Parts: sequence; C-alpha cells; structure tokens
Amino acid sequence: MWRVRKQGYKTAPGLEELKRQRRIQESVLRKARREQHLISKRLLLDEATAKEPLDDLESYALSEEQVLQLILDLRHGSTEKIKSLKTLRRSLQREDVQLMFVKAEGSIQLLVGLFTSSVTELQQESIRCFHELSQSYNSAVSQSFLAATSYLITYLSGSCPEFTESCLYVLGNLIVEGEAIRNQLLLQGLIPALALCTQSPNMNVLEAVGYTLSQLLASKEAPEKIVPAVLEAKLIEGILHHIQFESEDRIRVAVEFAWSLHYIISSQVINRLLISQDLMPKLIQLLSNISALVLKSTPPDLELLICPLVRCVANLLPDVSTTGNNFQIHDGRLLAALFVFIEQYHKDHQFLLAECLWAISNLTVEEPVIASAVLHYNMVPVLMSFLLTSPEIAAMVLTILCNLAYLGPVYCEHLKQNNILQCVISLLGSTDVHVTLRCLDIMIGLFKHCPDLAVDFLNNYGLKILEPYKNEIQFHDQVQIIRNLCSMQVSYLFRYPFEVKSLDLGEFVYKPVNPDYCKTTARSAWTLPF
Amino acid sequence: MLPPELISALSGPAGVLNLAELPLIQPVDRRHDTERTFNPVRVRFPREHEFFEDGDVHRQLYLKGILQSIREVEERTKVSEFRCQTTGCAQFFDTLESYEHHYNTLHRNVCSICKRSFPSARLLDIHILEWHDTFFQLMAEKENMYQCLVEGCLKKFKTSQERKDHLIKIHLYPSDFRFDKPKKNKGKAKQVSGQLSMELGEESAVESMEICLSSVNESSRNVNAANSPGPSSLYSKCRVPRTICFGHGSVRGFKHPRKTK
Repeated sequence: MWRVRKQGYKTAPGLEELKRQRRIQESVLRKARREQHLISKRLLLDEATAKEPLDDLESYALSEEQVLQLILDLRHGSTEKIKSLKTLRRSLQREDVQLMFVKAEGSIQLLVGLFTSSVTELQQESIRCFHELSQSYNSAVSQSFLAATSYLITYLSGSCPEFTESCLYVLGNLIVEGEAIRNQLLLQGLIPALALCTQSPNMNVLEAVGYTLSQLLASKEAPEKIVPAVLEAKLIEGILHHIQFESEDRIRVAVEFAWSLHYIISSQVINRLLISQDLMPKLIQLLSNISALVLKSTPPDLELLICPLVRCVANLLPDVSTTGNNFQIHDGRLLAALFVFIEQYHKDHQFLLAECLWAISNLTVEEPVIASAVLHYNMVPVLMSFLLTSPEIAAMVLTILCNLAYLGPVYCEHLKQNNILQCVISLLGSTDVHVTLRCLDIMIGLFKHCPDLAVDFLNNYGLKILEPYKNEIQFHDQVQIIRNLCSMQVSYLFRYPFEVKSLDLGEFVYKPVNPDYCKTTARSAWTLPF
Repeated sequence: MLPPELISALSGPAGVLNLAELPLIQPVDRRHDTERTFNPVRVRFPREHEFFEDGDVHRQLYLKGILQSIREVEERTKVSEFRCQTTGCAQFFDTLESYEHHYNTLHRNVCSICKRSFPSARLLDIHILEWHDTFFQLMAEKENMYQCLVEGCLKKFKTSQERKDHLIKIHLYPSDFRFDKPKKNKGKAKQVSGQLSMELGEESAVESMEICLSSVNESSRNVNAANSPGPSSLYSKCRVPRTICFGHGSVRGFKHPRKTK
C-alpha cells in the first residue's frame, strides 16, 4: 500500500543542504531531550504523495466550510466518496485542517465508519487519514483519537498485513501523546495484540510492531507498568527472536526490537530474570555475528542496531557480577566485537565509541581475566589513542586504565610500557573535572606499584605541577596521597640506591614479602608479546 | 588492528572463546591498596542519562527519516480491471495489491452461515459460537460463556450485555462497538433457503458495518452465486484450519449455506 519512508526532501537536495537540515533537526532534538520530551513520530507516505514536492502543502489549504462540506459528502454521498476522502487525506497534512476536522462533530466516528467499511478503497484511504492525524503534536487531535483506538487495536489481529502495519504506525505515533492515551491503549489490550503481531511472517509488520513496542517502552511509566505487562504477555521471547538477524534485509526489524530491549533493560526491573535466562550469552553471540559482518562490509543503519545492543550489554554487566554469572562474560568475542565496532565507527559515530568504551570499562572492573586479555591483545595503545578525542571519551578511557592499574603491579608495568605517565600528565590540565580526577587516580595506582615511575615523575616534572590542584577540594585527597607516595618511594630510593639502578623493580619492591612470586610476575610481564 | 586469533574467533564457527582457559591471566596484587581514591565499579546508566544523548538523537533522526537516502519506491503494476470472484461481492480492482487487501480484510474471516465479515479470527470465532452454536446456547444458561472481545482478557460473562458493560467499563470501549452487535431474530436464519440466507447475510453485514455497499448488479450476483464452487460434502464436515484457504471466498462456520438446500 504505502511503503515509502518520509524523506524530508523529495527533490534531490545538495549534500550541504542535507547537512544543514540535519544540524537543525539535531539541535531541536537535543533541546527536546534535555526537556525530557524527546519523542518522534514516523511518517510513511504513499508513492503518489512522495513524488509531490514538500512545499506544495499550500495548495491543500481548506476553509472550515470546505472541511464541513467534505464531511457531509462523505456521510451522504455515494459515488464521489472516495474522491472526497482523498482530498481530505491530502489536506490533513496541514495542521489547521487537522484541527478543523477533529472539531467537526462526529468526524472521527465517520472516519471509523469508513475504516471498518467493506469498500477496500475507503478502508485504505481512511487509515491514511488516521495516519496523517497521528502525526499531529496537538493534544486536541490526539484526544479525538480516543474514539478510534479500540478499532485500531482490533485490526491488529486481522489478516491483512498492510492494514496491520498501518494501524501499528498510527498507534506507535499516538503512544507518545501522553500517559492517558497509553493507559487506554493498555486497557484495550494493546500488548497482547502486539504479541500476536510479532508472530507475523511479514517483514514490514514486524518492523512496525517493533517501532510501536519501542515507543511504548520508551515512555516514562515503563518500569512500573509496561515492562511487567510485556513480560506477562511473553513478548520478551518475541523481542529476543527478532533481534537475531540472518540477513541484511532483517536489519530494520532488528533495529526496532533492539531499541525495545534497551528500554526494557535500562528500566532495570527484570534484569536479573533476563540474566538467569541466559540473555548475556545470546547478546554476545549476536554482537559477535554483527562484528563479523562489520569486518566484511558495513551495511547502512547498522550502527542503529549496534548502539542499543551495546547499551544492553553494558547495563546488564553490574547485575551479571551480583548474580554470580561472571563466567558468562569471559567469552573473548565480546571484547573483540567491541573493539571491531570502535575501529569501524569511531570517526562517523562518536557516540558508539563512547558507549563501547563504557561497556569495556564495565567489563574490566575487578575482572583480571578480561583485563589480562586487554593487555595480552595489546589493546591499551588503541584505547590511549582516543585520549584526545573529547573530554567525555578521555574520562571513559582513563576509567578503563584505572580499572587496569588497580589490579596490581603487573598491570601497571604494562601501562608504563605505553608511556602512560606522559599522557596522563599532559591531560592533567583538562577543563573537565572527571578527566583530572581520573589522571590523579591513575598516578596514585602507578606510583604505588611502580616506584621508578614516582622517581621519574619527581625528576622530570616535580611536585610543583600538582600545585594548582592541591587547594581544590575535589582533588585535595588525591594530591595528598601522591605526595605521600612520592616521599615514600624516595625514601626507598635512599635505602636501596644500587637495586633501583639495576631496574629489577619487581624484586626491589616485593622482595620482603614474597620473592618467588614476584620473580615470576616480573618475568611474565616482560615476556608479553607487545 | 585486532590480533588474527580474535578475528578468527569472531568469524569462525568455533563459538565461545573462553578467555579464562587461555594462559594469559596476570596475577592480581592489592597489598598496597590501603589508600584508594578510585573505586572500580560497574556503572549503570538510566535511559534518561545524558550519556545516551547523542545515540538517542541519532535514533530519533532515523525515525524522522532524516538519515535515510531515498529508498526505492515500489511501483504498483496496474492490471486490467477485474472483479472480486467471491460470491456476492462486486468490487473492482486494478492492482493486485488492492485486491489482496480487499480479500484479506473482507473475505478471510467470514461466517459461513450469515456471511458477516470480521476483522480478526478471534472475533469470528466468538461470533460463530454465540450466534450459530446450539451447544453454546445450552451452556450459556448454566455458566458464563460470553468471552471478552479484548485480546488477552480471559473474562467470561453470563450475557452479552454483561460483556458489553465490561468492555465499556474496563476496556474503555465505545458503547456502539460495531463488532459486538447483539443477536436478533434468534434462529430465523436457519429456516431460509441458502440463496436467501446469503442475501440476508449481506444485509446484516452492511448493518454491522453501517456503510452502504455501492449498488450491486443483482443479475451478475446471481450468476456469480450459481457459478461459485461449493465445497464437496466430504470435506465440509471437517473443520479446516483458518490458515488454509481453498480458493476464493472460503468461509468458516458449522455448516455451509449450500448444505441447507
């Protein structure tokens, strides 16, 4: 029936125009997000309208009398009905006509009548009218829909895929119009009806049901009301089934369901249950498949699938450790997939870089298996190459490095090999408090475990570079600890000057405690294949 | 960038690459860990956290269609105008898609006895039970038999009126929900002949839809009815799964109108 996505530009625009449009849209969306009403509606167009230029909207203007006449024709006319309905549908793209129409008495009931009629053309055209109306952000228009929702939901379980798809998009657009509408939709059995739709073999229906579901799960009352209902309707199985994609043409479906899953997991109400049902290994398998695909080619829009899945993994990790399932994340393919995504997307989609780094940082917390793999596969230089990208990304990378440094001397030795001290000191002057804090934290870890670095620091930079931070309350503790550590390590230096020169550091620091153990650790650290 | 062994783990058939089994784990040593300012913890981000802003904006740009290049426009091939072959139907079509839509919405879930068409299999099931099943009538006197129309609601009621009240009160349905018409003229349809019952059926369907069909050529309908293939008596007794459809105008119900002749 109508399978064209809204383009925004129906005449071929220049690249610059595209970029400009995008920047404007982006800033609008950012503002909306900060004000916590980031909502979007999807518009499908039929081929006829898609070919019409966008600024033709003027020609669809109607006066109030004309709208009332159209309604009258639709109610009583016979042969010209379809013509009137087509005129109405085109004009409903205009906000003023939308308002005039919904204010006219019985107009929605009339549309419902046509929508449930037995004449195919009238049915098709009336669902398009509903679709145009659902694009409105005006509450008067959305209120008028309350009379139609029971029919829209009823047709979800119908046998016509295109009709079901259209109803789904109308409902998906309506969902963002407030809790009252969502309540009514829930009471009218929307969720069980969606669960039925997920069994459809039709790709367009599946994409539409994923969209509607993600709109529903993105609402603010999702954690208390919607996630439990989705669980009860056994929709989770459907979601997990559809995020698997066997071929590239399933990406669009997988994207919608992946966002639904992200909203479920970020609601943090059933995460332990999901982990107990082995969600983590399934996600790892999926990410590993996607990364294998990325290594070969990068299909468009794939980042829209990767992003929610990485968020799911990262947000599940805290619960993985508390439920005693840490062994699940020892699958090296997860770490590898994250690095593949970083390599592929860090230039074009920086948000994906930040989110993958967040996942890696959660992976490396108190986790020597993963941390050792990061060292073994020489991933530290890759991470450090992003230190200058942006303060947020630098803070994320430094957090990962802190996680490594706090595991002990072997890990610090490795960081030392990558000239970490120099990098950290150059970042100290960052305007971002988090970056400075993490830099100081890393210095503490390094000086604790590598006394020669403390000595290097004193020789090459001196405590004076910490002067600006010593009186700032948020850095005070760190600076004090670093000073203490430095003086402690210098006192060692005076006691054992000879051994320090010999550079046998593992031996030097840990000999009094456990000489054998330190010998092995020092040796293995040096023989790593860097 | 990645070492070859990791790449082969991703693309190979080997499955899980258990890092814990590889000889690469370095010893952890926290003896000097008395003073710590950094606390390694796994961080959760709630959905509205600003960390997600860029990704969320990207997603919304996709939804608004800004990201996409122009996708292919499906051309609908026009065919020479043809008529729906279903008995009693006189609509014309010039694309296969619109015919498909018509067939799926109007002729898939049809009651064989009164020719009413329903939007979903569930509503048809409920209709057949309540309107044409004598056993149902007997049972309804003893226990609650009227199922709620809403998908996922398992409630049953003593009368259709009770159900209607429930639909309005609990599910916020409109009081004139057009797929929940109470049964009128109980049992009359059974006595009329097959041809007549079809006509009646058409009328009642129109009544339920509240929309007039465009005027139908009476004679062509009769010709069509006479030509329409009736199911063989052998198969009409078995209940055919709703996913299977034998030709045009397949209908479901306890008996086919042809049999009443």
